[in-house]
Amino acid sequence: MVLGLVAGLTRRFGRWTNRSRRTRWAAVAAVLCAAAADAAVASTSRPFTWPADITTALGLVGVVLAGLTRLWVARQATAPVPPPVPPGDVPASGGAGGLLHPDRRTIVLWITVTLAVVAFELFNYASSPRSTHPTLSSILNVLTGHEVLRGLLFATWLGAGWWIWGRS
Amino acid sequence: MDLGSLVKTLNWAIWAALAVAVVGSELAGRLRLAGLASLERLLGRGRATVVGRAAMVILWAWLGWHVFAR
Repeated sequence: MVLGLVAGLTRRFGRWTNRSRRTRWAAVAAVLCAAAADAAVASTSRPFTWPADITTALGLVGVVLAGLTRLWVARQATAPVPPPVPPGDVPASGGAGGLLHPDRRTIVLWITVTLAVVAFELFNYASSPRSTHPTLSSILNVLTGHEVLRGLLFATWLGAGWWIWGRS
Repeated sequence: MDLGSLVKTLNWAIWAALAVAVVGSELAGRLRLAGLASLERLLGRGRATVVGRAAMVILWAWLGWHVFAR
C-alpha cells in the first residue's frame, strides 16, 4: 500500500514537473513571438512618429516587465545557500580561473576603448558639418533608414535588454 | 582631394579603427587571449548589484528611445 502511494505521488510529481516545463516553454515562445512582432512593426516605422514611439515604448515596457518576472521566477526557484567553504578549501569550480573576476588589464582595456569612442564622439558632435564629422547617432540614423537593418537593430536592442535581466 | 574630403575620409577611418578596436577587444576576451575577459563578462559583474543593473536598464532604455523613437 505504501509502495502504491509512493508510486502515485511520483507519477503526480512527474506530471506536475512536465506541466511546469511546458508552461515555461510556452511563456518563452510567447515572449519571443511578441518581440519578433514588435521588431517587425518597428522596422517599418520612422523616428519622430507615433508608430515609432509606440513600438519602442511597447518593447521597453515589455522587456522590463518580462525581466522583472524572470528575476522573480529565478528567485523563487533559487536553491538554499550552501554553507560557507572553510578557509583553505578549494571551491569545486570557478575558483582559480579568474573568469568571474575580470582582472585589471580587462578593465583598463575597456575603459581605454570606451574613452576613445566617447572622446571622438564628442569631438565630432562639436564639429560641423555633420556629413564631414559623423557622430554615432548620425551613423545609426543611416543604418536605421533601411527597414531590414532597423528591424535587426531593434531585435538586438530587445535582446540586450533581456540579457540585462539574466542571472549574474 | 580637397581638405573637406580629406577630413571626412579621416573621420570615417578613425570610426572604422575604433570599431575594429571594440570588436578585437571583445574577440580577445572571448578567446581569453592574454587573460582578458569579454565585455559581456565585465558587464555581467556590474549586473550583479541592484545599482549596476538599474544603471544598465536606464542606459539601455535611453539608447533605444534615442535611436528608434526620437
